[in-house]
Amino acid sequence: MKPYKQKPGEFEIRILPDGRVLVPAPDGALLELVGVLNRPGVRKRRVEKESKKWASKNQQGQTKKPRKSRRKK
Amino acid sequence: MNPVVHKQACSRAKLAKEAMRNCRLCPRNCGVDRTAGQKGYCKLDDSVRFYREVLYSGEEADLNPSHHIYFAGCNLRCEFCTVAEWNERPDAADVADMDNLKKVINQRARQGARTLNLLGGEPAVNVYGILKLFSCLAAETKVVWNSNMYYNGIVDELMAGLVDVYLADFKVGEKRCAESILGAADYLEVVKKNIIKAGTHGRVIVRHVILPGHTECCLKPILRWLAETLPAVEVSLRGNYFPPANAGASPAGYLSGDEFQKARQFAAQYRLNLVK
Repeated sequence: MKPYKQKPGEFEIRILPDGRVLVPAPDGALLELVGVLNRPGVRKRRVEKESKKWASKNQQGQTKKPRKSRRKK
Repeated sequence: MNPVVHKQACSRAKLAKEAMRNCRLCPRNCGVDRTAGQKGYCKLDDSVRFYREVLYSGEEADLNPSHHIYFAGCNLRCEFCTVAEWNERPDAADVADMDNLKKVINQRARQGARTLNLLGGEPAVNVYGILKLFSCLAAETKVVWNSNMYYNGIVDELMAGLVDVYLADFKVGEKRCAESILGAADYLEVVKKNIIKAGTHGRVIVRHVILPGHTECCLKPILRWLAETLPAVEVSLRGNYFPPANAGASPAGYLSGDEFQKARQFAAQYRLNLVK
């Protein structure tokens, strides 16, 4: 047997391909966090963002373009 | 809790402590003297250790919000256990301070907790500490015994009348799976006996976390046994199986929505009383 989290006191967050965020045996703080991440709007945005990222990566044939900096000069 | 039985919590705690001198609380029958610091399969002496408490709303509907108290130590070694690290090393958890625990329980009750949910690890191997805790609590506390039901008759007797809801985990339906996934070849006979006994003391919700790919060996035999033996019992099918990193004998993937729906259909075919 080998769990992902190995030491008492460690926590684990799993993000599934469908966008669900799972936390086995969470404490109160993690439960709150997962509640926010799994809200329909937030989850939809996250899944769409991931899908777009994958789509563009596949279109570009795995080549990465340098990202434009958004920081204001 | 039954108010008359509640008054016996302290004397029952003493009985539980006596039983730990030659510990046979569970079918492991280690026979160690836990009061002298010896540790058996559950790796616990007579100290009571808890490591987490949380107000949780993901239980079966009318138990929510439920105040979860996680006790360290277990008498099974389920491959897919989500708190295995605490069961491997229960001494990493703090020794429970009963006064503090009582304060936390009262605070959670004020925050809206409808039930006090005892889980772990396994509450049965912590029965002494739980009975001590009960003696400090109000008799009106609604107690949920969230257990793997793998314990000897003495635990059933010690807890009778003190539990409002037995949330009985029925993990696998075949001896081969019990042996390879849980590490307990006698699991089925023990659990079936204890679920029937629990039904004579209070409300029982039999919970089965559906194991992906275990429809024929686990899901169907469990549903069939329930339909034949306890046709009116409340049954909760859960789809929240977490595959472990190194799956071994247990399923390596998550349950699909389709598998979950099929499981519910099987339960409906057996005319079982499914709860959400």
